[in-house]
Amino acid sequence: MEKPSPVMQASKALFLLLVAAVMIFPFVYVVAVSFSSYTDVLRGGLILFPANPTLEAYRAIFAGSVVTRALMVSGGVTLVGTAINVIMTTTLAYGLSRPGVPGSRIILLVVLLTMLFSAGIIPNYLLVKNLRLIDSYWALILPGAISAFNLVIVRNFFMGIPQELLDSARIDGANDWQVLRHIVLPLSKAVLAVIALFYAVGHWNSFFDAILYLNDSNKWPIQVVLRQYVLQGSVLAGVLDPDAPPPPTQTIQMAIVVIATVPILVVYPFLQKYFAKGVLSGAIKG
Amino acid sequence: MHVPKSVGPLRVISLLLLITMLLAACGTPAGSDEAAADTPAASQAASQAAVASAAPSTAPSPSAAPSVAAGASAAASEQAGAAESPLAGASAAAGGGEVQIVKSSVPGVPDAILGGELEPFQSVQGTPGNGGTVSSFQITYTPPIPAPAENRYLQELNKRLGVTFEPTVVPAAAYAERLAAITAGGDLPDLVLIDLNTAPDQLRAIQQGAYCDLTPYLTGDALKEYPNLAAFPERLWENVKVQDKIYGVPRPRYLTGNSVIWRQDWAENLGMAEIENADDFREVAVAFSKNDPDGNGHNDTFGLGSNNGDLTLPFIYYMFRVPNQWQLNDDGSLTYYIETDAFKQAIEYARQLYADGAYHPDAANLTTAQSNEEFKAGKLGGYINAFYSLVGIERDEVRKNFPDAELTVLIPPGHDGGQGVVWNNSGYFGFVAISARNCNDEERVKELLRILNYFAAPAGSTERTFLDNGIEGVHHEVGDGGRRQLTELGKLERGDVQTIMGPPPVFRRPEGPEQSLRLQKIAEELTKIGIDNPALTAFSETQVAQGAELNQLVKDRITAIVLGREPLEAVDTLVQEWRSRGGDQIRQEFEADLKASGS
Repeated sequence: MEKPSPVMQASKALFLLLVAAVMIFPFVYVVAVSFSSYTDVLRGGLILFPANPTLEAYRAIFAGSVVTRALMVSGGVTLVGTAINVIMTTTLAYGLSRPGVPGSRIILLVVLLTMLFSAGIIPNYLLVKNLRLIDSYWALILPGAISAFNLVIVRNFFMGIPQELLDSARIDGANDWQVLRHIVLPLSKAVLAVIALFYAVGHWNSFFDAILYLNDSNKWPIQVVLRQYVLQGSVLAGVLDPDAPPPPTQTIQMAIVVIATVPILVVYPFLQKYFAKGVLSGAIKG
Repeated sequence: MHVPKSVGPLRVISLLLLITMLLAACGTPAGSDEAAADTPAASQAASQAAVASAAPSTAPSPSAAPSVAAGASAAASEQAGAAESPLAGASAAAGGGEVQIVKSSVPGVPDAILGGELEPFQSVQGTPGNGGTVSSFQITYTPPIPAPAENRYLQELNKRLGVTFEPTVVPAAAYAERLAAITAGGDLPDLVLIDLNTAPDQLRAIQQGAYCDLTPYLTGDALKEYPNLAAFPERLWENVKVQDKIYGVPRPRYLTGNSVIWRQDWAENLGMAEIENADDFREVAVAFSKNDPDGNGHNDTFGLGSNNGDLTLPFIYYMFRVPNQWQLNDDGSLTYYIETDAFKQAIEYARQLYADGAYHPDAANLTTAQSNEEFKAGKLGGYINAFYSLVGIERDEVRKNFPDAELTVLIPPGHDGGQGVVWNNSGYFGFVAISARNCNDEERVKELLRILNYFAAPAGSTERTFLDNGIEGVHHEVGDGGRRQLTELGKLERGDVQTIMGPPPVFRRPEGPEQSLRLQKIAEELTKIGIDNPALTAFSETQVAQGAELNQLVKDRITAIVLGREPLEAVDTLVQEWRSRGGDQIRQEFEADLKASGS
């Protein structure tokens, strides 16, 4: 293949730059507004860099302990929840990926069934209630401990590991735990990174189950709390109820968007390389 | 890059797969995938939260942030308009001076309170509670407040109520689902806020005895035990009935229906200040679109907007005197509004308006917030909004850009001259019911009602002042002229648990007495020609099951007809379809119910 002409290369670069700019622009805008003073925002116009940088909005949000506590709740649920998710998913996937495990087809079928049919809100609520998990953080973690979708990805990945490798470990006297820990998992870092990310993003964004299962609003995770900040006094609230308090300033709203986005944003670049590779290897095999 | 040709398709497929997975991961939080996917509202809410923190590589996330913000800031007028509501009213009295309470001669129109701070008085005698615990289920619009142990507002509230008040608050977005879940789980707290508009299935719970029949407590002389509740307009107690029984205390709002907020200065520029019939209205609305009413030399304005895609149709119904949902005939039968001749005339008229170019080009899709944006940007001549938002919109939104703007609320004329009508509201937003476990204990029911009576304390009472402002010197400071200003701690600790109940609204504008009187006058004009929905309190099983679906059907078809996508005759097929898909059933059930309750 011959080298493209410099004009072609330049125009491609320009095009890609444009595409990148379109993607990045809203983020720059959000971040810039969140650090701007409210009077600058009111004056209108496009803000790409705060003229009078200030932490006003962030100070307003972090006043009191509400947001800080909610961040800790979300962080805790994400860490503990993801750990449990990954452990449960890999162990089950390992069992299901090896031939000859009695009942594995049935178990797989039962898990897959939840992908197609799910119980409604009320059955789920009744289950959680009867497990006495209402108002407990475990209600946010246990009901979704295994995602059928992620299980299938991991299982397919495990099935792609040559049986000979496992057999060699067996010959050295390893039992199933040791095979899993010393052979399978080290070979599966890519897919583990991927499902850990899926689970973590899910926990971080967890919203509805928190409202459904937590009576105590002091236990609300960050997404619920931030949504209350953004929507307080919005049309949604106002139409329903003229008593609703006035809306927060735009700078505060943008600061909230930043707080809600940044943690995931920070994690992504580090996992990116595993991410693409992991999904592809699992997918192509399947 | 040198990529062998054969890999191309494979790459594309894997890329697609990657994107699908990304969306799957971001769209449904893992912990809640079963729960959240079930209802549109829930998954919308979930994805909204998810989008806010989605990865940079997903396309929807960048656009989400600005649009959320725009929606909320557009709402400023809604809020400003609500400033005369009890919540803000007590802290918004302007200056000192003589206090004057202007009662309206029209029944159902709230008082206007002019001047400064009211003489403090006590509206509740003694302590309402008996020292136990009272739990509640209610909607919240604020961030969570600190727990009672570290919240002086809640501590003081408990002391004044004489009970330990344990509210469970839920964001409006999840209200219906959560209420359905706790109802099924048998977990209903003592006091439950029921909004049948968003949670119609609660009608079934009511029928199955999940809540106490409060009729004996809240009618006749018995009601006088709760003076603040007894001060509610008579109509509220009628409107809140379910099958002729009272199951809860209504949270009072305006009874008056909405009408068109209008650029009166534009109309005057065009020499058409008075609107006396439907032809006048058409002429002005079209001229708003075509004749440069703001005189800026650009053809950049439009006549009519939408309140959530309603195409300003309610106002047109008002002019054609279309009945408020149902028309009760002399023989006790009911006619649905889309079945009337007046409705067909109104739709024909609206079609013509659209064809003449009176509407904003996006009118069919405009939300209230978007209409509001266009309005304050000086692009729109009129749209339907709450009448009491007039002053706020004029002050905060429009005059900022156009100092000479004059707004008004149109009082609907008859299409042929004379008077039009206005559809009255129910006058309340949800009612607070008492759950069944308390019903057998008469004193307990009374205690709970006394607590609601406390929360309904009127403006100026010491109870109201505390509920809205907390403790003086801690949660609020008293400034010039008795004006109370919440401190940061006050904003943090108060939240909105006290909105579980409230007094009837009053007109009490911070801008001054003339604005309060102006709104009261508009309310009078609108109330005089108000008509009720005769089936407001009637019950129909089919309505509960299929009402929302049928409403959507009617709305979609009407929009298509007005926009000219379907012929006018489609009104007849719409009626046929509505009847066969459950409309007739609903009618029969309503008729039977009305007959049974003897009205």
